[in-house]
Amino acid sequence: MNDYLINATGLDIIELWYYAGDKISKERKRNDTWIFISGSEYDMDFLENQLENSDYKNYQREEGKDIYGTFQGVKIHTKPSKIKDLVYAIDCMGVGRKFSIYNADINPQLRYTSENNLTFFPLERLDDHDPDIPFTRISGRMRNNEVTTMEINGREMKPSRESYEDLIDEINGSVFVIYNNNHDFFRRLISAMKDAGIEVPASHFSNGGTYTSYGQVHHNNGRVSLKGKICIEENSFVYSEAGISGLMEVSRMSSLPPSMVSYVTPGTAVSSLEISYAIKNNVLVPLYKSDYEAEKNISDLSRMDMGGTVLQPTPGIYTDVTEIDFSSMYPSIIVNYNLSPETISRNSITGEEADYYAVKEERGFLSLALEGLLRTRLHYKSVKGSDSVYGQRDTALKWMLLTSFGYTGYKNAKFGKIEVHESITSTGRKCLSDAMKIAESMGFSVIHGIVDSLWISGKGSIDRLLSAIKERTRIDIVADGQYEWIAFLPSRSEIGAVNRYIGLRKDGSFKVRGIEIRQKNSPGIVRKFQMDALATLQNCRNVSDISSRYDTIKNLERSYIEKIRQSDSDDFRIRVSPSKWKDQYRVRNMTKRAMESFGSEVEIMPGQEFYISVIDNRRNLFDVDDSNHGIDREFYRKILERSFESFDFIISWARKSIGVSEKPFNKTLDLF
Amino acid sequence: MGRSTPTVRQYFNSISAVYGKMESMMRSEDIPYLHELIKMGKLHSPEVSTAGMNPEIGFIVSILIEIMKDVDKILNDLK
Repeated sequence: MNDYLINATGLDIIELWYYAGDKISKERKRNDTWIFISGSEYDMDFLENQLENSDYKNYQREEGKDIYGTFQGVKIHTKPSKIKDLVYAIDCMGVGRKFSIYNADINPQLRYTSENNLTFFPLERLDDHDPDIPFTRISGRMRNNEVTTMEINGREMKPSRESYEDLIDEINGSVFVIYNNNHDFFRRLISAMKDAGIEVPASHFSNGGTYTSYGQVHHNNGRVSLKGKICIEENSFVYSEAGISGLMEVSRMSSLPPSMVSYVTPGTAVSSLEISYAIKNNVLVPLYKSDYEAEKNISDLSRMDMGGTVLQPTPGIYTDVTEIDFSSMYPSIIVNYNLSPETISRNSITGEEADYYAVKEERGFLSLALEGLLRTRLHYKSVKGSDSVYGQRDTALKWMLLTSFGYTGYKNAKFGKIEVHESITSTGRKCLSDAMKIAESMGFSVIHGIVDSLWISGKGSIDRLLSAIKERTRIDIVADGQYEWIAFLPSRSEIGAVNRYIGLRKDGSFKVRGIEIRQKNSPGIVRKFQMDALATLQNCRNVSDISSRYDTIKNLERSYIEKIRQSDSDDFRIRVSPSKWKDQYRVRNMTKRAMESFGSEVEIMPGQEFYISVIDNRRNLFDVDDSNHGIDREFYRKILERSFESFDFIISWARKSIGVSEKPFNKTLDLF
Repeated sequence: MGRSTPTVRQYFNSISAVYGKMESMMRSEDIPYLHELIKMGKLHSPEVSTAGMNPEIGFIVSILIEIMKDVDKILNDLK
């Protein structure tokens, strides 16, 4: 396997890393490149005159094409390291508006591999496995900014000269170094090894940062690079979601080197895939976008700026329910409905039709670029149960596809446009409404629906229903689960919460959303209670069975309240993830108070997670480093009681529906 | 990325908050009916959103639909 490319580094000289026979071989290649400039005839003559008197004399006039069509321009040959200065000079010459600049900010490794048709981690067939590439996994613990324990490939050891030497031996024999850099652990470990006189490969550190995604603040740990190794931070998004096979799959699809995949978001990966597709098909990639959004009046904006349809379920327990899901709905809409910035047009027909349609017969850029990604993901989705590797690849591609839709509305996306975003959601709403009407016409009743999923009940043929929906909408739809029963839970205002439910599938597994067991900041004792409560309901086949569990659930609740005295300290740890700096909190809530308990030496960044146990909430006593024992029982009792509410609702609803009278469910209304 | 205008559900919550202010001047026996109306008003937000109609009118239409359903049920029970 001589052509098994695993990495690429460099700028003007690209170093390609090949893996064969447990060894890495490297090839160095000259990386000459070019940028493309277009403008009016007069401005391009002016540009050519300027180039004649500069160091950039290697240029020519030629035809280029972007997604909208072909045009004349000047192609300037240069080195990647010179592009930034060249672009600055051209921007100054054109006062930032006379010239359109293309192919000027593309990742050099991505561009080189795409131009030369090279693929990272190439596979002959989709079902092939990647070879076993040796790796070292490093994590550990710290106290007061010093490494106290390290774990190398699962072996726990204390820091010492011998353990440092062991670690270096492991690193030297590996290709991948997968490290945890929480609170700068790995960086501090490397510094400690250097201080102890150990020879460490040349290392480079970069600081962590904070970013916001879908309204949540996240923290990226700082990165560590070791010369000659592919270093991956284990909390990085792609690796933590999809493991090493998923990371290789994203690298394969996006043409980004694996170490870069480990710190970019899936959005950047899908954007890179589109850029790579553009390079392979000689489509120019604009440096600055000029087609963010067409102008529209305020009422159109309000009407078009809608997301997916989310129905309003009526709280209660439903039996004989099937969940049907459109497979990769939004990417399928892009591909099958040919939605791309250059193809869409506003629909003048309103009412029954979607708000936009594809005006061109030939395939649009976005539709073609995402087709391969969609087909590959649907393949891995269909086989993921047979092999964990396919499962990891499926997860990685699922994230790329999810963001491929979001990126169409992102102002910096190279091939995005707000109208494409709107056309996708509009078509999605139309597909869901078509599916609902078809289901009702075939005798099913629709209980709930969220964007691309419907929960229906009835005795008709699901297969016939799915075929009819697929025929009408042109999107694959599958039965995702059949439920013995599913309980849609109320919100505080007593109307149905759109995303809180507990369902028992016919195969005995539960699907649970929106309750405490799914929330990362719930303490262990709450998760344990809800696991036990679910186990109690596992053999219930109908409402009467659920009703009969009244005593068991009530006893369980009582026993957990009593258990607060005896539980393990780990059961009380709560994850805290601040969304801003300590000083920016105006209200002294628990997050701020917990951050203050670290003292002034430790600064917690927004999005950086840590764990606390509440020792005394009123006196602001929190255990942040496992050094204290004892907990605030009253505080945890309240949290536990809140976690009982979902199960109390299910039991009381079941009892009421079979005519068992009881006191009304005790909860506070929050209508306003 | 993301919405730049409020959703119909968000509109409905603000309408509910305005109607909720009536509570302070209401006789206590009337308050449960106000609560019930607000609950009814919120039940048809997906349909109002799809229609792109004025949310305040949608809120009232939603209440009327639920009242019609109740009337229909009572009439059926009487039969």
